[in-house]
Parts: sequence; structure tokens; C-alpha cells
Amino acid sequence: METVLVYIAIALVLLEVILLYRLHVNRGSLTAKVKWLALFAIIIVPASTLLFANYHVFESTKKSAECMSCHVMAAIGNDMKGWTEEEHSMTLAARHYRNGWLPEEQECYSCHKDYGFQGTFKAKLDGYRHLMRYVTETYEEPIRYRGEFNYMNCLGCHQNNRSFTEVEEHAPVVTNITGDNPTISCLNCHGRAHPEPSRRTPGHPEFEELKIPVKDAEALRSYLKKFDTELTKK
Amino acid sequence: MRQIFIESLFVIVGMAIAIPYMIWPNPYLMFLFVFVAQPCFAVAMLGAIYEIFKDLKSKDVI
Repeated sequence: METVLVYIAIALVLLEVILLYRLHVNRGSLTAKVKWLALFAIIIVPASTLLFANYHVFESTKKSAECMSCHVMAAIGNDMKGWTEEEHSMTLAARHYRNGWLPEEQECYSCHKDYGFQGTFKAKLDGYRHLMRYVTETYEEPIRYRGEFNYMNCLGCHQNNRSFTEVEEHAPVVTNITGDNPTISCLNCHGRAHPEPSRRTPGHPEFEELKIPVKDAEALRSYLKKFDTELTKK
Repeated sequence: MRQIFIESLFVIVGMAIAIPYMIWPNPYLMFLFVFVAQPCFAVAMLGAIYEIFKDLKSKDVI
């Protein structure tokens, strides 16, 4: 889809350049032709660009790579994806990733469907706030999730899963989570979803390792292996 | 035509941000698209719609 969008973007910009040039050449006379040119150049082509670019915003933010393009997310992404097979992370997200339980390229989105740009109007506003805070660098590490995670997102995959329903202890949990006032979290029994904030705080020994850009996964693995060897020696 | 000239400038600014964003998406271009390009397009389109409205009104079409 990205390739199609690139072609559409190129076509739109070429069309706009031609239309604006024609409008500039004919600027002296306000004929019907010029009015049509103006209609396309100022309203129709820009509206189409807005439509496609906004589609791009909402589609691309479903991809984990897009989440990781803000380096502040690297610690969470590295924890999920980058650890070596021998010394892998045991956080819930990492276990889901390692076992192939998450759809490829949409690892973040599969659990955070109702969050940021993909959620409700309020969630979208929050997404814009995150973008503003990231670009203007008005955030502090470790970043923290402000709201309440909706555990219905977990049930979306697990509720009708036999291995889940066979565990008797899950029945009261489901009743609680689907009730009006849920008080139980899946994390109560299944551990943290992501590395604890202390590990994502500047100054912590693991902070620098967790902050290596996710894109360079091979380098990260070898670096972590070296780091683990050093720790073992100590 | 002066109005259309100003709106054309807004469209050029908007396109100059939106198109690179669609081709090379990153947080900074996304920020510019959301907070600069979109308002530019909105101002240009609303201005053009107002011009069309004035034109039609002056010719007693509406």
C-alpha cells in the first residue's frame, strides 16, 4: 500500500504544479476555464492530498516500525524484539512476540488498538499530544502510560481460546474484566507487559542498551551478548 | 485573483509538507503535516469557497 501511496503522492504533486502553473499563466483573465483551474488547484487536489495523507497517518501508525520511529519507544521495542534467544526478556510483550502470537508488523497495534491515533477522538487527541511532546522534546524519561489499559484488548484474542477457557481461574477474571467496574488486571498473574520504568530511566545500567535503535537488531544482539558476558564475568 | 494568489501560497506550503510526508514518513514530517500543512490547506480551501460564494452571490446565482 505504501508504494501505491508514493505514486499517488507523486501524481498529486505533478498535477498541482501543472494546475498552479496554468493558473499563473492565465491569471490576467477570470474566465470560466480559470475558475475551473482554481477549483481543482485550490480545492479538489489539496482535499485529495489531505485525504490520502490522513489515511497514511492512520494506516502507518498501526505499524510497529512507525511506533519505533520515535526513539523514546526504542526501550520497549528492544525489550520486545531485540534480546538474544539465550537471554531473552520475560515481559509479556516479549513473550507474545517470541512465540509468534502477534501479527507481523502490527505488534504494538494488536494490543494498543484503542490507543493513540487508532482510538477514540480523545485517544487521537492524546496521539497528537504525544507527537507534539516528542517533536518539541518536552517529555521526561521514563515515559509512562497515562490512562488505564483496557484488558478487553487481551480478551479479544484470548477469550474464546481453548487453552484460556480450560484454566478455571480465568472465569472469575473474565467476569470481573467484562463487568462495569473491573478491578483485576491480566498483569496481576502474568507479569509486566514492558520493562519496568526504572530500567528505562537515564542512569540505569540497562538504559543505554535498551535505547539502541531497534532497526539495527543484529548489532543489538551481538552488543547484548557482549554485555551479558561482561556481567557474567563480574 | 489576489485572493487566489494567497490561497495558492497556502496550498504550495501544504503540498511541500504533505507530499514528502507521504513518501518519507517520520515523526517530524508528521508533526509538520498535522500542525502546519493541514491548517494551510484548510485556510486555502475555506478562502476559495468564500470566493466562490462571493462570485455566485454577485451574479445572483444564490
